[in-house]
Amino acid sequence: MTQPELTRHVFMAMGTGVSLTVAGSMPEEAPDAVEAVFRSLDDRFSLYKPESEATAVARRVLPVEHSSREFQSAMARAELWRTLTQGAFRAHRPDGSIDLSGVIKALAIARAGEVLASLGAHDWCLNAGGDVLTSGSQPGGMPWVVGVVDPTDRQSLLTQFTCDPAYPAVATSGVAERGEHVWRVGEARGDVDRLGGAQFVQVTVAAADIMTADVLATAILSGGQVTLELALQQWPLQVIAADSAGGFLATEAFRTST
Amino acid sequence: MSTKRNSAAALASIGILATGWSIGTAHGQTLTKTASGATGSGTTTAPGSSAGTKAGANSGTGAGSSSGTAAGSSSGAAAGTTTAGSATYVGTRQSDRWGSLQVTVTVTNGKITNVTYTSTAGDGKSRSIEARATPTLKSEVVAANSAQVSSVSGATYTSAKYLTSLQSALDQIR
Repeated sequence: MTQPELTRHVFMAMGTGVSLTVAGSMPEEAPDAVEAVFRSLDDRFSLYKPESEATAVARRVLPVEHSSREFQSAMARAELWRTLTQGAFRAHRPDGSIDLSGVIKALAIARAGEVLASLGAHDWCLNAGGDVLTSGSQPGGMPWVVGVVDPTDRQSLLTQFTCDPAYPAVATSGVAERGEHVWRVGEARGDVDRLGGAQFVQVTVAAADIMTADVLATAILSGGQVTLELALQQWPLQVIAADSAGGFLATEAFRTST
Repeated sequence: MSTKRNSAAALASIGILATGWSIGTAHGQTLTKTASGATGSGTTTAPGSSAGTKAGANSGTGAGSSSGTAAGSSSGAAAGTTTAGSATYVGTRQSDRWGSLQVTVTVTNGKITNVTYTSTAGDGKSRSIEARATPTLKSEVVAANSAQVSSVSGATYTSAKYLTSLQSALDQIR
């Protein structure tokens, strides 16, 4: 069967792979423009770059109040999310150092999406390290479908989510991989036992925008079932959360029967 | 030891709030500076903080933010109040088809001391959108159809090779 045309551009940024898929032909400027968005944010916010502003702040060479407007705005954004998630999402590591990686990748994805729109691209799928933002549809009008990695076997897919205008963004957080920006609520204080409900090993969230999806996936992974319930009361979401015992908590989009 | 840094973070946040920068897109709401309506003491003199200074310098610019374009936003002229050492900033009420939300931030001595918000659910239809997460067996989870999948969501990949490889595998399936 002949497939309608998809064009793809894959590159490395923020220590992970970024994959841009466009239905039809890729606008000529799109690859460079999207890469520039990621590199610009990475240059400023990477804690792996000795010369970055984030590194200067983390080392206290640069006081936060003297940092750039963009840095302070990212800080404020992260702090707001911490409040909205009642502390489950954090912009600080347990040692107190500032770590904005939890919002920067999502910010890059969102901005890249705006860039794509400005270039006239309306049907695309952008995946940065497993966080996915979609726009429009696949060739032929089929919706974008995002697979979700099986937490017990990363070579296979656990489930899938069909994006639509209400839920164009899908993000996943898990404990099995790079977990430096995921800290369980109470872990640093040693009072994790006071929390009720299930703790999860992988959380996938579909939301109206990638920042919400990404932050809440991280927050729910950190805060467990309590945070999941909190999030579902505040935002329109579809969620599937895997616990360590092989069970799931899932909203209707991820269930075969309701 | 983290307290000190958190304070610095809070202070930075206030700087942003006070300068009218639009913060966040949580559920579509946008926080905007509302210090222009400083009532009470009459002058914004949050002790020693950049918040007071910036709020004064930018007084009256809050309403110009893009948040004003949100559909149904009704109370853009939210007032900020300042009392000795303490200020309250009320974000514009942001509405969408699921309801509305308004955030209030209290600043005391240059630090965020409280953030509250009020939200209202929309019509009955919006309430039905609210999802319930229920215990689900793996056999009850929607199965992935690899032939349909365009892209894969997973925890951040340690290796870009993995992502690239997975993508190429998907390309082959398609």
